[in-house]
Amino acid sequence: MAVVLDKSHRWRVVLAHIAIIGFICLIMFPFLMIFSISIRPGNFATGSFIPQTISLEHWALAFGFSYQGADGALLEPQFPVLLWLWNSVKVASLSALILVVLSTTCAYAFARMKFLFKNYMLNGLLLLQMFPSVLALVAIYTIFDRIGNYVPWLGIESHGGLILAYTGGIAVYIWLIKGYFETVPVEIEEAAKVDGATAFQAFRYVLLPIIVPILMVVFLLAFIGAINEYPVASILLKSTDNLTLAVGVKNYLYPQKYLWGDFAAAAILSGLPITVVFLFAQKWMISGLTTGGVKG
Amino acid sequence: MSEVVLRGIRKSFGNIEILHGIDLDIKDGEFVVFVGPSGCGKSTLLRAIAGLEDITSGELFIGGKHCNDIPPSKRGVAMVFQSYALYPHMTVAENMAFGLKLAGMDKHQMKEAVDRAAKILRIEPLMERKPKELSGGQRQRVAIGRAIVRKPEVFLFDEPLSNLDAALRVQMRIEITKLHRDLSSTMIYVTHDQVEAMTLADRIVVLSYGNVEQVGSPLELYHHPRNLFVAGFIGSPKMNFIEGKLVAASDESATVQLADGSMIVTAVDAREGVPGAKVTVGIRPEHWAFDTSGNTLSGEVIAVEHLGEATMLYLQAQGALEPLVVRADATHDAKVGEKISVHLPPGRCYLFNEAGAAFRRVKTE
Repeated sequence: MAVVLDKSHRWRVVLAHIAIIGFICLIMFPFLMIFSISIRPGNFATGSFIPQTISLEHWALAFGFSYQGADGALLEPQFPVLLWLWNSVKVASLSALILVVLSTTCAYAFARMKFLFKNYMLNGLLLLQMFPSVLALVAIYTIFDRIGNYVPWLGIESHGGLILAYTGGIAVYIWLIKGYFETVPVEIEEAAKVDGATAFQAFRYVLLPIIVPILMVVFLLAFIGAINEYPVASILLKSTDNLTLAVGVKNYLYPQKYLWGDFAAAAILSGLPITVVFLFAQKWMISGLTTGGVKG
Repeated sequence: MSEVVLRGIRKSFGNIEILHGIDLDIKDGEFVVFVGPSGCGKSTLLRAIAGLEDITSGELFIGGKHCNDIPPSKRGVAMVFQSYALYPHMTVAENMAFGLKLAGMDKHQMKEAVDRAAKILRIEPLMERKPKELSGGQRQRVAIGRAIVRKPEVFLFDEPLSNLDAALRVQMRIEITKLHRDLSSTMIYVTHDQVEAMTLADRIVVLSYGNVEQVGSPLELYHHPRNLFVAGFIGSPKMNFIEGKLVAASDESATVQLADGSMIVTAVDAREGVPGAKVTVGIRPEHWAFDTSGNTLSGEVIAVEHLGEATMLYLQAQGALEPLVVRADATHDAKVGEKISVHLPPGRCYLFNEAGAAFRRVKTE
């Protein structure tokens, strides 16, 4: 690619790089700040950005080990951080999985089938999703309280209930996948049907492999959403062992005592599963899977 | 092997009726081409036969089986789409084996069938490639290969060559003819290109606005079009039409007075014609003659095209709706602006009444 370039091109590239690096520093700053707090001894929100002494006390506590401080006092872990992390991962993975399965099938129906009130339903989905779930917290609490009377594993204080609540946020994903379905030429499925496939086989063997990238995106978004979600989890879950990490870490910050260091270590930990899932999903998020199927 | 029978097939989308009652008998092993301008319903008709569109009313039989409510997968048809519609995530071999895999054929037999089809279409070196690594012509071969491995009773082609360049189209046309000879299965082929229709078909079905205009062999349609539409559609360049008035009619000739007053004799059975009625004379560009006097028409040359093997002259003449196209010898030296006379051999002329229906031609020289 030897395109003839303008003379000012080099300077523009340098400027663009400086701007990009500056921007990255800007968004990385809060993260580095939290990281710095997590490796500083003591529980202070303020202090020098680059710590003078490094202490692993907060990380040890987060991983559930006791820590012998410099002054000889033994610090015991107050909260089951790893259990919270596990709870978060469990709830997030299951709800993301259910969301992917349900939204894919729903989106298929909306993209390909003809039925009554289709457009009203689609718009209805979007409209409902516009109200933040915080507005409905009281209602959500009451609903799950009532559900719990009949199906305990879907009620208050259950991860099943929380997963069900998260699955309610399906509308956005339906729209997302539907948009992707519409980019896949109908002829490909028709060819499969003429080839002897039932509607489900055409969906399973032909359409599904083509739409893997968007499924990965949806899984990732749903996963991140569930890991980070606070309001709904905070009213549905109460006992310490049941909490998700996002709700749990709030326990480090109570008015009498702000344990900033412990909070910071746990907060960084919550980013870990997201990173792992992202690295895994990235492999599948390649574009151009439909290329070549039909005349472009 | 099986025949396809259509009885009063109608198809509506909402309130709009696209097909207005199509009756057709396609014999076992026949190559039938549906041809018509875009929007005439030919693709819809093909999709209805495939089962990709439900039939609003009428009956469809494939191999004697009533197929109205049978899903496409169980009709025993294979279809080649205009856009190829290959499965982008599968290799060529997987694309071709897909139908067999669904039918539960064992691996060994499957490979044999796929290899045989690949050999016929000469795509063996491509078997492990993905569709995106193929050229348009190769993709079309794969699409045809996918259809033939299944040994269907009926092949359906939906404008399969329209995305290929001219040279490749001619080559694929010959291969499809060969394929039909080798497989001797029933084939239904949709195209808007009348050259494809003429070269491929045993019988052509000319459609217009959801109606069958005429069904017949290519030469039958060429020599005996039933009406103005078919006459204008079959043949390239298209037939010239000149309006006139019928002055004398008998069982073997009709005399027509053209707008410029000249008298033209046409060899048609015009007993049903009424002297004085408005008629249209038709003559194909390749049928004009120059060296004979009488039965002539004169006009001004407005354009000359030298094609090498022939020269096309465009004449502006009175009574002709569009400039008349005349195919002359390559050596013809007419100049733009010149006034020339051209002769209409009576046996080469067509005559249509005011409603557009053709008078029967008594001889075709």
